[in-house]
Amino acid sequence: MGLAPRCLLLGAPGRYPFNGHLRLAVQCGSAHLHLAAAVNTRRDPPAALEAAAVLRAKLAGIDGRDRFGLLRSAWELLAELDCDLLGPDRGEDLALLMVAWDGQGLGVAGTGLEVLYELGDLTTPLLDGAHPLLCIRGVPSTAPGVFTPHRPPLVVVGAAASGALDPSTKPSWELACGLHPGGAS
Amino acid sequence: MSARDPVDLDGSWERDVLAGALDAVDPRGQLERLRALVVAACAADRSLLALFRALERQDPIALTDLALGPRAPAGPRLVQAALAVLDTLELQLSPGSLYRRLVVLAGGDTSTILDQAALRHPAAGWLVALSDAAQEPQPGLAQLRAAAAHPAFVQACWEHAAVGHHAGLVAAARATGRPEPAAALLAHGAVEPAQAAAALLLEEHPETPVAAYLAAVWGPDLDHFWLGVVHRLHSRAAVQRVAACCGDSPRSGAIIQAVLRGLRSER
Repeated sequence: MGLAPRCLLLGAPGRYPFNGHLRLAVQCGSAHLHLAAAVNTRRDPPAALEAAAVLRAKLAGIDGRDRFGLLRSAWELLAELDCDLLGPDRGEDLALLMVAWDGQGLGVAGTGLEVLYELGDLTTPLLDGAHPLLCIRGVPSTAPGVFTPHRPPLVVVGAAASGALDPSTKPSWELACGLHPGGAS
Repeated sequence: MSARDPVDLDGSWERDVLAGALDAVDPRGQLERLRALVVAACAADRSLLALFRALERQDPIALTDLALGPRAPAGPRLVQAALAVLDTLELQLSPGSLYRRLVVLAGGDTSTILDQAALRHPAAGWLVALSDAAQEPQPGLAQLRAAAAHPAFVQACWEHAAVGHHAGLVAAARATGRPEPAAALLAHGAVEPAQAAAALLLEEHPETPVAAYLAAVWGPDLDHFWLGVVHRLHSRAAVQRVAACCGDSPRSGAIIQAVLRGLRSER
């Protein structure tokens, strides 16, 4: 695989579209994981940022030998996270999208997502409707399944359940996801 | 006496009226004579305060005509007196129209008008246009200072950012210590002014959670933004605050360390 696959989460409508958003990249040998998440989004920005930092620090410990191992590790870390540290909503509004890949392929997993797109393509979602990957927000009680796209997209974009920007209302998909020229990841 | 005769400001009637003694005056019936007196008093730089205060009690409609009507004389004396009877004038005219008219009549210094308008109506949307009409040196600053403790502050920041009042928002960040002016600037794509506002907050209001607000409008990866802030800082403490805001990218870390070394060698 050439360029590294990654994922982005669309912002929310309103004045603070990226409140509580975080992104993280993890590499373990030849296996990689990229994630985008939003947590504690209904609180004020300092509280949301604090919860995002807690989640990011926890998920920075993701470890695994292949894409499945990385995703499993992420869910295990989430399960052991003390949700009280995520603020008074205890992570009930968590939206999380992960893309993991290795030499054998790519897997997508997440929680609190309504639709998955390939960056720039609004008309043919990668996933929508009743797929088990798409579920309400929050820390799942059991590890969700893994979606394996037939044709691996370079950038997977998630729309969080109950509230995501319509990317066509922004100058670009990247801006709708809070990704700016010169910015990182 | 005809309204066209020269006004003798030292005449007994004129002196009494300017002193606010209106017992023998019918303001509506003698409106033209009063208007001529107001014009002459303004031209002679005489105070209208006592007259306007007396009219406020006796005939607010006549007061409004004399102070704000189409034939009201422009100048600081008239504006000064009008500002003293705002409670009454605001009952006669919508506040937006009233303050726009005062700005026109003021001609020069409009800062007191803006300050009064902002203090009395900190949430008013028309203040955005008024700051332009009044040629406020840092447009928006008067309203944002007045609204700093008002629930409408955030909305006001966004409204001023939308019309490009960048300097006012930067100054408001500094004056109020609040993060929303910087966030509003960034939300409207004014990156450099937002960096200037963030730098002032880091230097002068270190307790302000500016990073959280900026991330909430821009997205979680702000390293590039912060690197544009670092060179505006003058203190090691502020640079270290930026280091805490930045992620763990080696590039950001190297640049911040270089800036810190530079600051160390300067002191």
